[in-house]
Amino acid sequence: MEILKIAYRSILRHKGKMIAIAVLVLFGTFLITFGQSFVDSVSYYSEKAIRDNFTGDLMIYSERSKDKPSPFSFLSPLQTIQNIDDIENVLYKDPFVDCFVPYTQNFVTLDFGMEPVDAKKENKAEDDTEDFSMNIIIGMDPIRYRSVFNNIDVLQGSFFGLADNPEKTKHDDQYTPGIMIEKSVADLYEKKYGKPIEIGQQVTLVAFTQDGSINATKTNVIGIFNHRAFKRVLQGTSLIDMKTYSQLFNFVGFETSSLSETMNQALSAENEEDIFAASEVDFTEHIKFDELKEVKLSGYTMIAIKLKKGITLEEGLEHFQKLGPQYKFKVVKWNEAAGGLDKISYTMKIFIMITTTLIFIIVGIIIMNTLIINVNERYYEIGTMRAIGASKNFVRNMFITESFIVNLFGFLVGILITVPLNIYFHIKGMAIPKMLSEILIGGGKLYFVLTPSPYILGILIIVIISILATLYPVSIATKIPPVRAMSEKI
Amino acid sequence: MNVVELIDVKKIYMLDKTEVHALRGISMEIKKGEFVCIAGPSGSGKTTILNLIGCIDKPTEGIVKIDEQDVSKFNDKQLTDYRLNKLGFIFQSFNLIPVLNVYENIEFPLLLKKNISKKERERRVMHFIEEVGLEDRIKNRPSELSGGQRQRVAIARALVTNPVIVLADEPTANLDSETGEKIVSLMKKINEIEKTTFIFSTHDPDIMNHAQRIVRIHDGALLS
Repeated sequence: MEILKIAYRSILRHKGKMIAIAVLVLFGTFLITFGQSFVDSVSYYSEKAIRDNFTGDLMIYSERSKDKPSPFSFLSPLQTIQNIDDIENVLYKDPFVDCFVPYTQNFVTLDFGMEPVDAKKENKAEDDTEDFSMNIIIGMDPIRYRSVFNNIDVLQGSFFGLADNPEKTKHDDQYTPGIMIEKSVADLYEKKYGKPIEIGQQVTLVAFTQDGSINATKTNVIGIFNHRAFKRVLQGTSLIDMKTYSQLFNFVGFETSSLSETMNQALSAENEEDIFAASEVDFTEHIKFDELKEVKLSGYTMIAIKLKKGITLEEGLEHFQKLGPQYKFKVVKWNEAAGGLDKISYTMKIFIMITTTLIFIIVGIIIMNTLIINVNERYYEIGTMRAIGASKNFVRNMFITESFIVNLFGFLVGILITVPLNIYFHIKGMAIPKMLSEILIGGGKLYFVLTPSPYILGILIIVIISILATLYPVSIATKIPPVRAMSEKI
Repeated sequence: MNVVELIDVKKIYMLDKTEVHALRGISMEIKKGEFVCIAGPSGSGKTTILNLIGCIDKPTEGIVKIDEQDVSKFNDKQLTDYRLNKLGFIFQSFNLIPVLNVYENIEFPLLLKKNISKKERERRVMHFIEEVGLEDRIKNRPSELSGGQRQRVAIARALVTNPVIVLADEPTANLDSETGEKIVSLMKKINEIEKTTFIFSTHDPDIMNHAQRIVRIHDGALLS
């Protein structure tokens, strides 16, 4: 109690220095708690935007694929999931699955059959299309896709001819096949052709199929849209229904069991001799066209799964990892399918941690120096205490108590500033630059997530810094010999 | 009974690379209840003797016995306990704790002792406040007191633990002569009432006259 009293009064006596220390601690507290709340919120909303709109909780993909699936870092098409029907049947019944949707990605070239403005002016050749040669497309079943991901804003037309409200769409509704053009793509073509892309306009889609041939199909523009989240990341990515996609990429076929033995042998020829022999086979004689059974070949390359509430990612992952070998698929967590987007918030966290650590090292050194000055100014006071019987422990405890009171005060004021600010941004949201927002959290204001973790972290760091900054001055104080009390002024 | 016994005590300080012989083999004895003055010019070794008796410094050679115990070989903790329980200090510059008031300054050594009840602390503090005549200054901080009043507080603080010896290093040096006289008279009065041994240093002849015995020292050696 006496130590507290002496510490409190000593603080008041040396209030200039103590206020300086408290302000530094306040600044550090603000930096940690506000910065950490910001990063936690970015992390939360980034994850939410990715999981709610693109990946679900888990993503299934073909066991033949070497690359992991990602709607964000698309470089080349993954291997298709061959036994999609079997996998879908399993997923429909699976107690872990809330909902799921298969989809795929690929590249197409769009040809609207119009003459570019430049070609008209300069009488150039029509093949001047290098600016927008390839477009990324997402191929999916519109009804199923929208029942899982409500992630686009239709600007013109409709979402494949379906009702605006996804909840009014039934599973047996018919959608209109075609292509939904992403706004930036539409703008690019408008600039090129000098007139806007119109709804219902015919477009020829040209693409490389898996066997390396070039295929083309005609379809119509159903709508123009913007991605609701990660607009900038997904710029140039349009949507196409799976019927049109399968036509374009030749994902329509027949069961090989319907073929005759001769045909099967001819088709499975591997050496030169067999190939030449096969070339002499008249295929039309061996194919019984009326017996051929059309099969749905899957062009899907990934399936996004949302887990039921109460099932953790780890539980879901373990469950599907066990099923994988049987159904020839692999499974990853959402963050592995996020194409590095999830790592932005992680990197920010690391950056803020490093910055905070550096600032705190500086703050710690300043606090330490201020305390050393304080100890030096009280050299004879401490000497006197020691002379009249105060132990080293007493002196140590006295300085630690002083430091604790000042740091606690600075910390509490820092918290008092941060908490209302965090609550304000929780309610009103923080406006951050558009480009940054679109990359960090998929777009929009950042609404702070209120969790105790930044404050716990703040307390931990402040305690550690306070202890480290106090240790050396205290060791100086405890080494002051009592003999210094003699013949000296306090 | 001897409360202080110095046997061939030498103290050498290092001033850069030069040895300074502060005490050159001093032997002396002080009996319980004595009112002793250590007299000598500046630099003669008065403060060094008080430091050694006060257990705040150690001799280079020789034996220092306080209350029949050789303190020369005590460790820091033992010396601290010894200072708290057996000794009282009065400093030339009063050395009160600036953030504590009169009452709290006097109470401070009792709080360090830990095993004294609040009631007992209050009784002892009030007794010595009355003894030094500072009843009306209980709540004042040292900065609000005159030099004489501060030294009275220091005397009360030195006595409150019922020490065997009270050491006073030039207690009147920072006081005017009239106040100095009063302070030494007060010390003398307490010595007579409480039978506490007082050892003080001075080079003021008027103050020396109050002493029961004068130990004269010059260049680190005793003159008489």
